[in-house]
Amino acid sequence: MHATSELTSSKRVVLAARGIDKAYKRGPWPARRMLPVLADVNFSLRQGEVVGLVGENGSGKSTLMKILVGALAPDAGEVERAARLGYCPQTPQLYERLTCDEHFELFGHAYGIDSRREREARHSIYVALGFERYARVRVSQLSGGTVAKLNLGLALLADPDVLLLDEPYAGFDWDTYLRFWDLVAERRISGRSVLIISHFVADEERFDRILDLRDGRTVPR
Amino acid sequence: MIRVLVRRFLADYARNGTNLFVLVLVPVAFVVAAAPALADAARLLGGQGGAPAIEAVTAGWASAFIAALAMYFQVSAGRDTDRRLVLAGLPGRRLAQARVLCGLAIASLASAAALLALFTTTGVTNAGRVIAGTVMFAVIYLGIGAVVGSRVRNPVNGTVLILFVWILDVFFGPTLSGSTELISRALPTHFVSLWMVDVPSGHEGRLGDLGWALAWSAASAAAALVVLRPPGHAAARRTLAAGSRPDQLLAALRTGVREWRRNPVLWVLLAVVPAVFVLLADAITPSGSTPVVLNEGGTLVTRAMDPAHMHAGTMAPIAVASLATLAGLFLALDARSGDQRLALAGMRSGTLAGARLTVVSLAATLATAVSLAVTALVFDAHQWVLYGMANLLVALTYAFVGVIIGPVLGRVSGVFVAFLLPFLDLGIAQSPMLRGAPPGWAEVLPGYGGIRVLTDAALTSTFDETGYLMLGLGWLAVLAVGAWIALRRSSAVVRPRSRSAARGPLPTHRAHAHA
Repeated sequence: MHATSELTSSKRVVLAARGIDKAYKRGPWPARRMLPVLADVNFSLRQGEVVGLVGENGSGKSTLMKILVGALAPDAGEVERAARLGYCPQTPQLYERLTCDEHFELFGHAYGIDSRREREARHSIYVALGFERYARVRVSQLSGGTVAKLNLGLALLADPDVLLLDEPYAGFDWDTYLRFWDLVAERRISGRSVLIISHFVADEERFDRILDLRDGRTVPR
Repeated sequence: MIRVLVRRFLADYARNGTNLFVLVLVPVAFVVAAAPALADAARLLGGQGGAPAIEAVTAGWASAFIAALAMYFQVSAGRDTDRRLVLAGLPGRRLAQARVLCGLAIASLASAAALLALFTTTGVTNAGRVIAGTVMFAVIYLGIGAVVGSRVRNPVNGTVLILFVWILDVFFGPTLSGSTELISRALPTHFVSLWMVDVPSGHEGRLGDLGWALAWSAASAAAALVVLRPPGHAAARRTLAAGSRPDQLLAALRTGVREWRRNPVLWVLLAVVPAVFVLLADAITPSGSTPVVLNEGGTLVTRAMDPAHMHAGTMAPIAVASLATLAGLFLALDARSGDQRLALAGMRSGTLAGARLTVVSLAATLATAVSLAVTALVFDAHQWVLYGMANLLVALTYAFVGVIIGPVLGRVSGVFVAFLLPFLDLGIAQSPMLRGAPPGWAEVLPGYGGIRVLTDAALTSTFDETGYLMLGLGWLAVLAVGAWIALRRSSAVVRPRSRSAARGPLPTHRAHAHA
């Protein structure tokens, strides 16, 4: 863990979740039952923190991430955020017949950034993740690794204060994996926060803190 | 200034020796070598005017072809330089005029070569009419070359496109094929070729064949002037505020249309469904008599109609509705996942849903246009404009049905229902082919009002179904709102409490403890 983690406690909270409950309905009516996934989850992320959220398959990591970004409503509890979020979902949610360039352009409009800034950000993302030569290739024709880079790149486009990444490096080769951590380190230095969800953590020293998601609750490691 | 520009553009053209060679060789070879063979073909196909007419028209075809290609290459090759000239201060209007005049000069040379060959090899009786006709051919194709040149950068694609239009025009034109089909009247040189050989078209209306020919020529020259005017300084363009509602709407529309047209299934369906539905219906229906209840001037009358005559016209809305339902279905399903992420990134859900509905509407309009074009080959509606609008009403109605059923049924069941639903409603319940008037239960289906209007437009010469038009529009409005809600819900974002300016840390919680 980073030695600076003690200092971050004095920094402002940029994302917080309190008392989050979530259960999924399973089975047809009248035999329907509720499958609880999250129970009274409390979580906060401070400015400049890199936090890992780890849990085994089916522990509710992606559910919590979706609730944090607003893709899913919790059954109970509340989410509070004080910054712009960049979200990289586990399954790339992309348009099969649009190119990488066209994705960046479209998401630039969604983020509300002007076209000059969008082009500059796009270029730096291409360079940082090394996939500029696929700029004009449609998603349906990209390899899995390049799709993962585009997926991450769209989350980075607006230079968000908080980056929420769900299994971001699943399709990366070793070189891209290292580049990814360089990007995370740069963001940390500039005061940006990063939450990374993964089913395992290989390099614990890269995080300020790690939370385990067990029995529907977050537990500090 | 224009004179200097024209002179320079012509010099640029002439300094490529091959250009001059082709400019003279193609018209001469076409008129001398191809005219006799084409005259034989015209005799077989029932072309109007006979062999002398074909020989005269070949001069027009040759000059048209050369004019279009010369204009295409002039525009596509000079595009970047023209832009630079405008950025340097040259008014775009002047530049467009110079390009058109240069094209006219080249077309005149090609016309002169073709006419010279014609006059030396055959005996032309009405020289003035043939000369004027040949020039009009050239002017019409000059505009086509300019439009293609301004839109298609790749020279192979551009020339193939021009060749395709030209071949359609020549081989389906009245002097070679003798075709009087409605669709062939829309060919660029339909009227000028008939006027040139002094054969009245019979459908020239008040404008007359010469009037139509001149209108085509003027419209073509005007189109060339418009498309050849390069855009001015980029700074002068109005830009929308980044992230504003109109900005997001335009971006979502642009990419939505782009993604949709890259769907190969769409193009296959557009080519296959109307042909299968409409042409097969026309081919397999035997002649006979069936009663149809029609509204004539506010009075319901039962008329005996020939099914062989009307089946294609009543089948068109089924083809249109099936295509439109599929369009709505696929769009709603394909966009769902990406749209949710886009909404999370900040795209307004309502704006996004509006853009998606617009793309669906465009797809439905395209399906209607294609189906109507196929239908026009075998069916002649009494009120074509109203008939087309009624088809569009049915298409939009079912496109929105497709959007609504997509998320509920999924892809496989959705495709099945997309064919079944229009077939049951329009093909069984509403069809005038099966019964004189729809049964009572059919009145609650979405196609009822639209098909009553469509039947009135197809089979009577006056519009008397205002009430049913209102009913159809009502269905359309309700389904449009339903489709908008369905799309909006699929990309809805749960808004958390947000603090615009958080200053201090939130209250400490035990789960927040640092490791």
